[in-house]
Amino acid sequence: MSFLRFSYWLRGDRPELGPDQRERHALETARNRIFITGAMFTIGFLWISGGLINATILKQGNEPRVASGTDTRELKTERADIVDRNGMLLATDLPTSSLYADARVIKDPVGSSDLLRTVLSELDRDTLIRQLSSGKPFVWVRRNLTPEQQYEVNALGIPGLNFQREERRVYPQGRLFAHALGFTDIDNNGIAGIERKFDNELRVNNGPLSVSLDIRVQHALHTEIETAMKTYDAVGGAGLVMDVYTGEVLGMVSLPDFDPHRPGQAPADARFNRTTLGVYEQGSTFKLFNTAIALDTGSVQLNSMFDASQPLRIGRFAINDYRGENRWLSVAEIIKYSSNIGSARMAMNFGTETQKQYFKKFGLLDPARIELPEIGSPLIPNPWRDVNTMTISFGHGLAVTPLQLVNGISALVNGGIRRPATIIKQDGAPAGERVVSAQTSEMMRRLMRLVVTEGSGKKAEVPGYFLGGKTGTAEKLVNGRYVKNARISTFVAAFPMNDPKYVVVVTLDEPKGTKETYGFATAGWVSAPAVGKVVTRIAPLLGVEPANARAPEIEQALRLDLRSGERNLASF
Amino acid sequence: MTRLMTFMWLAMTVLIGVGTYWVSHEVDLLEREYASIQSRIVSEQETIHVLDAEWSYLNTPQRIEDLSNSYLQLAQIQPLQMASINDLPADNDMHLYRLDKFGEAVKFLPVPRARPGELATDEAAESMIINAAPVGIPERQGGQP
Repeated sequence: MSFLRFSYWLRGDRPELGPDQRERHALETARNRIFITGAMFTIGFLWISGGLINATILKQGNEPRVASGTDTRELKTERADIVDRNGMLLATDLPTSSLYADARVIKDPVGSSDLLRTVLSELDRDTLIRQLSSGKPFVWVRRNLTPEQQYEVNALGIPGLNFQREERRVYPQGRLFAHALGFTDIDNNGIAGIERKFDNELRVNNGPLSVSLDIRVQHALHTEIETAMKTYDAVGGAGLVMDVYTGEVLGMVSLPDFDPHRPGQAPADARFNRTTLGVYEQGSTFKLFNTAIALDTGSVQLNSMFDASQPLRIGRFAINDYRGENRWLSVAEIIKYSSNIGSARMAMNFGTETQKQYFKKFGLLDPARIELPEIGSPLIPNPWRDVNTMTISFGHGLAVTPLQLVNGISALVNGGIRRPATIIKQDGAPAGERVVSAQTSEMMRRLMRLVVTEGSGKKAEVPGYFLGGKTGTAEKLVNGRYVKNARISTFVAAFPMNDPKYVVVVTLDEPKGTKETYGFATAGWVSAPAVGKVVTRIAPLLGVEPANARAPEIEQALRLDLRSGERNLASF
Repeated sequence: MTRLMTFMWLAMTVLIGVGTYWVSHEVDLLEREYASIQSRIVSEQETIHVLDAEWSYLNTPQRIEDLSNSYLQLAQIQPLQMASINDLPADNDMHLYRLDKFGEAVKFLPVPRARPGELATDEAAESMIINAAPVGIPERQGGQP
């Protein structure tokens, strides 16, 4: 019953009224309904008209000039590029094609194999037949084809052979940066060097990674070390160039090296990074640290005298000089003549604990903190007795990497502040830690300059750039014994000595003397000239201006009054 | 009147329908063009990427050095060959005068400063040039010009 009433109500009919009223009522309802519907439509149309007016007239009238598409695609490689400090490309991903087979589709494995081997002849026939008849939907046949090979394989028209687009790591500079950059495996995972250390960052690919290395410096260093290695028939060589104020490594060379595209074919020795992983006794170059400690602690003055007239005997050890002066020597002369006896006596003056503390601050006792996975730990004597202190004073009994050496020398000459070595490009100088006073650093500059003007490093001299350095020749340790005729000859130098900017080190492993060097294979003869040549080449590139040796400010910065020492001797 | 209105509405409907279709077709065309331009940009980027790698390969210092050795007559620059702009006589040096042996003022240009490579060995010779008192034209042997 109520349903019937509802249906009447819905129609606007009211049967309980009289026929006249009923008709009038119905008309009224109809009119109301038409009015409401019309109003709705009007609102709707006004809405649309308003929208149209808004879209065509009120809003910005013309099309935007540049489309701001949301789907702008950009080329993104699997791994980010690596560039040098000047933006030259060192490593990048290039697209290649890899051949795979859908073995379910291949009808004639033997015939297909033979056909395929007409193009890719290096494939093994049996393996190929086994792969193609395996029935698997995906089998790699050959990775990274050349475009030519891809075309030829395509032209064979074997069904079931398909190409997969892949990316392959390419090093346009070849072996030049092999040790620093490292390499990747076939699936583009970094497995050595920067590629490994920054594997995650490179994968995320937020633009190229800028390393601190410089192609030009690297090449100069590489060429000169290679030449020196050939000339002196050395089994290996290593070299580093470091910015003394930022700790950035500009050049890192370890020879022999390898082709980063085919690291597997290189012997382990070639893949070994001598600059960061190899620990060597650095020989007399340590006398610089020793003298700096002595001067910094104030235990000696530049003109203090030490008895180097006869070998120093400690228990069963005897410390000798390579070319003894056999007389009393001043501190400057100990550096100049590279006296082991004098250095040992100097070290005894300040003692073992002081030596340990300073060496720790120079970063010689802890593994270097550079951004590479290949880091060698220094070989530290344990226990550290007085005799160790004496031998360490002239670079024996403590083995460190060449990187630690240049980092320490940088701190020595830059005013006494050590900054961690880095291979990533820096903005300005990072925070450092004071090792020696600015005054000590100043004196060390003069002493290092003395080695090149009058001492064992004469062959490194480059007019105008005021090199200062120290030679170091250590006999090589093989199975814990020193081998007499196998040496490691190191020359470490900074330039220009009036205001040092860069440190260069060149180390040669087992150099042999030639006729030109009168048979000598010591650092002064083999490594020092190489450093000189490197500096000649890189100094103009790095914006170091040659200066006149007789300019008063240069003379002022480099003068070392040696005669005061002799006067002191008279008073002894 | 009603027929006219009907006709007008009909015409407008057709017009709007055709217009809408035309616009949507145009948009479709543009979108297709956009997509093709996009893919061309990506392929251009890929080419640039490959060319970048090739550029770096062609700029290998070893290669440049070999090319320079075989085609250019250039050698390693020596520190001696470098001088700064400050080493040149300044403009106002051009108007310096000194007295010659007759007591007349003559123009002279100072000798450029020593260059970095010049070492102490030729000190004596150089001190004669720079520090010696101005001298006149040397007299010839034999008297007669």
